[in-house]
Amino acid sequence: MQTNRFQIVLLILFVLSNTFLIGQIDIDHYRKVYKQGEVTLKKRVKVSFFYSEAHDAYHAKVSHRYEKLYLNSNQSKGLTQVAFNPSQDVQLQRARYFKLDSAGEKTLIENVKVKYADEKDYFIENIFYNDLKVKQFNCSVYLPKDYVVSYSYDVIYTDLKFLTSFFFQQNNVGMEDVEISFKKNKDVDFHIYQYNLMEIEKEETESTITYSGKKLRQYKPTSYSVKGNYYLPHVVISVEEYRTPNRTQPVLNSTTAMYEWYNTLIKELHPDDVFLKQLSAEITSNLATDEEKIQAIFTWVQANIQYVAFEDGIAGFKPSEAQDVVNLKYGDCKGMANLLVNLLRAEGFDARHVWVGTRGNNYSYKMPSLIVDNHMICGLKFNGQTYYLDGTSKSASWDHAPAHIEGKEVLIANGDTYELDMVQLSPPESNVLRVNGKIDLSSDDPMIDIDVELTGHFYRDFNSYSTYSSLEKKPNVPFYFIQPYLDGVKIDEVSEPTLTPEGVKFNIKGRFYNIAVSDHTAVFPFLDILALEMTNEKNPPIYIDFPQLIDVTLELDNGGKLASTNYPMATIGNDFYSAKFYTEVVGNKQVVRQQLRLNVLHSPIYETEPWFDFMAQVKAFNFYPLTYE
Amino acid sequence: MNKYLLLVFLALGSWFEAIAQLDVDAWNNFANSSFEKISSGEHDDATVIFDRQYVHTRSEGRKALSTVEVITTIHRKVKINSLYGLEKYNKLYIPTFTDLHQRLELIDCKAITHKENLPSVPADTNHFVSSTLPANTPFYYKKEGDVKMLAFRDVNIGDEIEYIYKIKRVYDIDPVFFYQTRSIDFSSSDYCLERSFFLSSELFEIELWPYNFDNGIDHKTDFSYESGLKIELKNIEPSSNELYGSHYIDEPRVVYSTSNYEGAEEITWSDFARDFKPKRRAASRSYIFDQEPIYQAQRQLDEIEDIRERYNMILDKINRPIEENFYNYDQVKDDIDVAWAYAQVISETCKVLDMPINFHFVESKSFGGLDTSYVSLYQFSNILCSFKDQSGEQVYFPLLEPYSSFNDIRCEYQGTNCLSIFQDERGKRTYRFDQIPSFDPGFYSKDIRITYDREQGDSLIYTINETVTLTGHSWLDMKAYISNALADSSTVEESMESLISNQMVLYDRVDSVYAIEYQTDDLSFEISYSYQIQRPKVASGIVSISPHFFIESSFYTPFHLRKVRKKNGYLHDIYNSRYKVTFVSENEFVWLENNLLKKEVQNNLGRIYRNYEQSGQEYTTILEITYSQDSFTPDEWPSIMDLRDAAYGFMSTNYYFKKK
Repeated sequence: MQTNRFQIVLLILFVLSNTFLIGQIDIDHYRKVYKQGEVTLKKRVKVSFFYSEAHDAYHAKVSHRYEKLYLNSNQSKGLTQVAFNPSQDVQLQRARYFKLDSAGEKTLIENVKVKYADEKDYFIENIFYNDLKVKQFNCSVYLPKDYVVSYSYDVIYTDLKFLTSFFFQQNNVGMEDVEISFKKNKDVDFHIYQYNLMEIEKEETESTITYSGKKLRQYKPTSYSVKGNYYLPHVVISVEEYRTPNRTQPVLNSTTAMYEWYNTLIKELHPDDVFLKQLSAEITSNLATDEEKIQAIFTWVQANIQYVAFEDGIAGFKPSEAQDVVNLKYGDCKGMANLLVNLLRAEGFDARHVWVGTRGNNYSYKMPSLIVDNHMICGLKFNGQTYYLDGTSKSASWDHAPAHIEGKEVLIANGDTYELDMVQLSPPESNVLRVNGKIDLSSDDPMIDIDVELTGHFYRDFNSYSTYSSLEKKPNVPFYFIQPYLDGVKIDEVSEPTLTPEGVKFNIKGRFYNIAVSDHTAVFPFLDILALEMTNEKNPPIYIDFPQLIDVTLELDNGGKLASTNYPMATIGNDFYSAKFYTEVVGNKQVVRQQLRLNVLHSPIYETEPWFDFMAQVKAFNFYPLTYE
Repeated sequence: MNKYLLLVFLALGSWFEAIAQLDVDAWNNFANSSFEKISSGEHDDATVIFDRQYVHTRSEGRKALSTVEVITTIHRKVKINSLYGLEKYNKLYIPTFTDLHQRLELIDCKAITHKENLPSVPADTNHFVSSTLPANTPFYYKKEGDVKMLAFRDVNIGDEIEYIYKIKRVYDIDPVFFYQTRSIDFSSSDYCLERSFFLSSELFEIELWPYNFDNGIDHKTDFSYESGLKIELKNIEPSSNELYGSHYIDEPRVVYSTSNYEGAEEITWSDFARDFKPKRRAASRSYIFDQEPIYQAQRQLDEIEDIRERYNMILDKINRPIEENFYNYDQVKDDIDVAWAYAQVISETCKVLDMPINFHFVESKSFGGLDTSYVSLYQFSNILCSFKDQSGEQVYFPLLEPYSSFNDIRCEYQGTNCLSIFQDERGKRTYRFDQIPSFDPGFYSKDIRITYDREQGDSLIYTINETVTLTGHSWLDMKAYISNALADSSTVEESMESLISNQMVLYDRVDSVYAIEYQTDDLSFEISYSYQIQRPKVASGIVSISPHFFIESSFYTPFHLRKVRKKNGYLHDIYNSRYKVTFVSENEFVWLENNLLKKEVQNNLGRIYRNYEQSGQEYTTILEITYSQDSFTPDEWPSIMDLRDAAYGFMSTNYYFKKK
């Protein structure tokens, strides 16, 4: 009887697994909708907890199953990668490649022997992840341009702190059918934080919480887009505590618990005080004021320590020893922050370890999860203020935090307790790009001649590029800064920049192409001051480097002739983003004025229409002519 | 041809002593080194005071488990002039590499920082870190496999870093089969006072071929050094990254080979042509003729009378395997080993059929020219064939070009010098240095027709009809890919859509391409298609259309490259082009006429012609670009810039219309 029941269960499992994998695929439909690339036909993620008697602890098992369609793919052998870190144990279960006939029927090409899958270091977006590995497999024969791969794997989390976010989709990938479920366990308390679930349905029963979605909107980020966590649907699970037969184990039940764990990692460090004192003394020798000493230590770290990212696993949280960073001459953010803390302490300053989520992260410390922060800097309590020193940023100065942490919440170490603070956001008026110059229409080849002035973050970025670029490329730095604003201008000459403590100035000369010369000459003098890519509802929000003001004044020289038209002042936008445009006659010259003020760090995530209108209107000014009879 | 050949047979007697001496000299030099006052190269991020490489190849002879060892000692000294230079040189990366048949071991290493007027600071070589090289490490550190990484201590701008290390690469190979060809680059990213390269070996013969060493730079042509070989170059200017520049053609480099265990005889071009060796054992003859036994192919060929038809059948048979396994094309198209295997089968087939055939060994224009002194198959990248037809016309055909026809010779081989081996009816072969003819360069042309369609919300909708025509060079570069796409009727529609989307439509956010039509013959390909674009409706009522929305333009000359030109330029991959942009409007718009669209520039390098015309409600601008030369000297740079500026002007000048 028991055997029969077992056989029936096996049969059901067999049928279910084949139902999942076999079937006709309406490839014409997918081609029409997605054209080409990756389409996830089915994604199933199941999260459950189980008790490990050997460890007297609860572990999590996350089962992943995917069926993916590749349309017109160039991946000749269909390389598939599963990333993991040392706190995880990944078991590939199965992987199969299929080809499709014209009717969309799948035919098995290969049942991959996943136990022989390669294990490699992981690289993504040009960052080397020291602790992150990848298991990868591919088909042993060349695949057709359209193919299907189905695969499954389980991930075991032995440390529940590392169980964090689950995304329903990825950028650029079509998502047809997704389901992520969490099986409740009476001995494990967890909380789920939900992000951007407009297209996702939630269903909760006594035993399970299930999120599901079908035919999700496909996101196509541009080079200006914010990171996916701002807009992609995802959930973050935070395990608060679990109870074993022998004990109750808190995991991340509060920000305090999270800090306590961070603090244990800091306490494990053993700085070589003698070595560091000697080094700090060398760096600050002959310097009289505290400000000079801080500046010298910060500059020394920026100049001498090369940034190399180690971002996952325990190495993603525990800093390297300060003396090791000095010896190796490279370090990640934590290593550089720890070095700054120790060098400054060696000189008697109150320096702290500080955790922060950079602007790539859109989370708050209200959520106790390891994904809230992704960066470490050094906090300096000095003269009644807290300064944030980021050794990885070559554009930062010690008294101005870099733009990528402005406006972000920070967690400051304070012995066994912590402090929460916010990195101050700079006003647009402190980050100015000012253009003053003239367009000479009197010659056959209209010319433009402008003086450019940069202040605030514009200046610091310029200074950093200039300081750290090669001597050969240094003269090009002004060009790269101003080029995005000069659509229709061919730059012929760039002057030597003049640097002052407040800013930098340089001159640009070039040819001006936005003109139609005939008996009725029309010149289009408004510059492209919104140097951001035009986006629409298909694109994610735009990342804005920092609050900023762009201010343009251009004089038109047409041999004393005045254009027959003039534009009265037009102001568009709102308090967060606005622009002014007008022309006026000053003496016997026509003067063109433009101003763009952005007091936001990204374009709106929801209710985007006003932003798109604003962009369109600002861009449209490039086509406003001044005409000469 | 400024190339040298030095073939040296090294005496076996005093090897160990000589090599030991070389090694000892280098290590002694390091031990006695100190800060050097230099004044050159201060405008570069660093000055390389010297960069010396010693390569010694040795073997203990043929044994049951034979190995060959290549021992390399690197000794460098660099002065740091900037922060960028500091970051570039403040760490030492030594490659380590192991696989099934070779191992790379670090034998010894010393590193030191020299300071002016202060004691030098040695690095602790116990502090090596083994790692896979981080992906975001600056490109100049990129090395194969794992690396050992060591940071210099206390380096600042103005200091000098110096290091010496010895690595041993052990190959598990019978020395008889050991053959190694390497290219050593003598160019430098920073000013270099001395770069030297020392070569020595035991039981092997070394050959050297230095290239591009006579550009006014002091160099030694006597390469013998004690019992080995040495090439030294002094005062090397940093490499310049110029438009149309060719590092390969202009920068000094040395090719060396280590082979001919225990002194095999020197081979000449006559031997090469006569023996048609080395035989490529790896290539299966039956595979080349698509699993068809050679005798069967010979029988078929025997039945054909017409000479062209016969060679055409050979060409078909050569093409078929790559056509049927097209994914291999990119790998084999310039693989001299595969070409060589094909050539050997064709040679044998033609001999059996009493057919004469010529083989032309060619090197791409992009990689320099023929070196008559370098007797090696490996200086070539491809082999072409030719024969004389009934009318006496010399007809050429390639070996590794699927879907090719007679005289389908890629531009990169046209007009190049080559080694020609002439095989007569009896199979007897002679050789001559020769030249591949040039064929019609043809045009890449694109005709864009923009028709105003309607107003939709805040946008104006235009229909775009484009026709792209490829002839000559542009067609030959694409012919294999397009013909392959056309060959599979089940996916041809998808392939053409992909071709259009990926290579022809430049405008962003095109939802779909429709009305696709194409036609092709041996000499050309033409494809037309339509799509719609949306442009914002502007309150000013002005619409603008810029050619660069539709035409790929690479004519912008960055300001910093305009004033100074140091090296020759090469226009090998550039096509003659014709572009036509027509705006069609049914009384909806008034054109803002623009005299700036008219321009003609003609000089010794080529001609740019741009113009406009109006016919009824159609407004057309045209651009024609023709090149007269495929390379230019630094003196001719202003002429090239004039052409580029005129073409850029066309691409960047908007075409303005005012809505009525």
